[in-house]
Amino acid sequence: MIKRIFISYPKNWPFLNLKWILICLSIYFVFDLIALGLSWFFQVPIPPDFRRVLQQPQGWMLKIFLVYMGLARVFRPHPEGKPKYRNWLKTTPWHPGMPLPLGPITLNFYDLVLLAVTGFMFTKLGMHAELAILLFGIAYTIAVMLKLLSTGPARIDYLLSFGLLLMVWVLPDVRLAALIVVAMYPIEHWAIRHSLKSFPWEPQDEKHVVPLGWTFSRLGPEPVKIRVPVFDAFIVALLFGGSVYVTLSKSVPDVRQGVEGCLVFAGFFAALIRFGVYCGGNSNPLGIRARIATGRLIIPGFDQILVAPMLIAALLFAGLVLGSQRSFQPAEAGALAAVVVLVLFGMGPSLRRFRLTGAYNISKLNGKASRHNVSSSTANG
Amino acid sequence: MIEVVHVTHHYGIRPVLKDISLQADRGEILALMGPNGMGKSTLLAVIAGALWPVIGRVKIDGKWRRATPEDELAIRRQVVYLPAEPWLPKDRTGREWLLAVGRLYSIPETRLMDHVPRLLSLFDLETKGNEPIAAYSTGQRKKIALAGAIVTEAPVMLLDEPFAGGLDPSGILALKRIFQKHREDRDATVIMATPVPELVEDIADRIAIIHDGELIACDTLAGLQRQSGKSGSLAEVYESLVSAGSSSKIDQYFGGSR
Repeated sequence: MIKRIFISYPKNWPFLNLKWILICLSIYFVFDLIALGLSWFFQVPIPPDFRRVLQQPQGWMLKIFLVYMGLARVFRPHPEGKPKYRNWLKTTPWHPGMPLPLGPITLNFYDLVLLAVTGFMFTKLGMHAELAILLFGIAYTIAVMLKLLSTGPARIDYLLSFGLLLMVWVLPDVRLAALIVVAMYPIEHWAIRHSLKSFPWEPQDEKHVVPLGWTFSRLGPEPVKIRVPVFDAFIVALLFGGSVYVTLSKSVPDVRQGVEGCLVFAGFFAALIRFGVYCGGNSNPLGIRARIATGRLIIPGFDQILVAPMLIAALLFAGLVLGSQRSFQPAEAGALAAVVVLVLFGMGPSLRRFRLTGAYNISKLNGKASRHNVSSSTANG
Repeated sequence: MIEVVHVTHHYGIRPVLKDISLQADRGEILALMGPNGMGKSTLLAVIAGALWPVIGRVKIDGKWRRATPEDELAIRRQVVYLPAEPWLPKDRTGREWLLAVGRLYSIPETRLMDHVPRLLSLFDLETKGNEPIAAYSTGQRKKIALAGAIVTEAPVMLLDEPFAGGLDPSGILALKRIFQKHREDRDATVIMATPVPELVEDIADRIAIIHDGELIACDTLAGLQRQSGKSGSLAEVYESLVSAGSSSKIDQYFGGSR
């Protein structure tokens, strides 16, 4: 019987690792069997309270299963992240628009069946049927976002992040949250199809990368690749500010204070990290003693990297002072967080500009800081 | 052309370079000479852009270093810098590393495939080139590092003590020939720092002598001979310009042992 199921289950449903489904269903029904067994053994109906106790792990089982399915639905058939599959696919006549050999990444009829069945099981447990759509949808969206980071179009992630944020905001209204998740799907569908058009994405394969050493990495003709355009900084700031607002809006006052404290600490820490990234391998051309001795107290070409961290520190300090006088409103905290993130990522000089034009001395680095691609076929011969 | 304009540099409050100005033309081999610890490597690092001079600027092919991102990138495409102790990836083969360096400088693949084996052969590294660099001797590491600088085909080469570090006579000879060939065929500029006059006498067009952070002379061998009043080899001229007291110190040392 089991063998027949394995043979006949739909092949274009590759995310369904049938073993996992069977294991999950077995665990799920074990609790029903326990209830039935106890009822039969003691010859009495199961008390409603005891039934509810048994239904709790069943609910968790279903939730975990749906999250797993949502993630696996993208990760299992996606050629990105599977070098062997991707390389094989490159050698086949496959082209964007054709079905993927390991099954589609976009959703299909079988997913509806899965959601309908699990939704029905949720109702049997006294929960919303829409919870199935919500959990599966969140996991699927997160998986799609992660894949889009490496395959593009990465900026769709911003749109999806705003969608997730809105979804969290409407909670605990499960129906509305599920509706938002469903509304996001057309965007995900388009993004997946669009990303497949740029197959094979030419990922940086770690084993084919040769470290060059500090002289070539720092003085070679390839500038630093880390770039945060102002648009991205602005959107990330909006997202972060929005997240802070939603989190604080949903928190009770005691928790809210703790969250605010953590955010202030994280802000100071982030400012330090930014300064560290700019200073990584770049030292001050004149130390404090030398500056005093030479009368050159400020070296604009180097000291420019201190402006953003100092501004962040000043903003956070002002926030702390204000917060000690009266309690912060979630909207105010969100706005402050957004401004801090905007300064953190958007304020100049960019790392690239500083590395190319800043007044610093290069400190010798471990060569592993620098890597350059070399294909395996040519590297050996 | 490379122009060093009034460069002064400190390590902390200790001045290492004092108001140095010099220039190197296209197709010129300029040797930076001077006793140990007098600022040769620092000057080379300033020209290479590894150090930011406290005062003064460096101009390469009409563009100031670190002035704008575009100019700096244009300079970097023209310049290769090899420090005295270069970093090498020990777990990679010399051939892999040379290919990666060549690609960094956008050397066409076909030319790279032709050039790398010839370079390995020139430095007697044909077999060793396919082994991890960790297995190389000190001299072989120096050779592969030099090959790394040469494979870039950069028209400006800044080399700190290229003949030191265990390079054998055949390696020294090969390197000298390469410098001369690059100067003649590609109009390349080579600036190298070395404390040993004999190694550069026959290839350097001009010699800049740095002593105690100051440029005390920068001229051809004939010019230095005129300046010093000596007509002998570069070593003798250098001795009279820089280490006038060294003979007496030697006599004093042996006199003291009697």
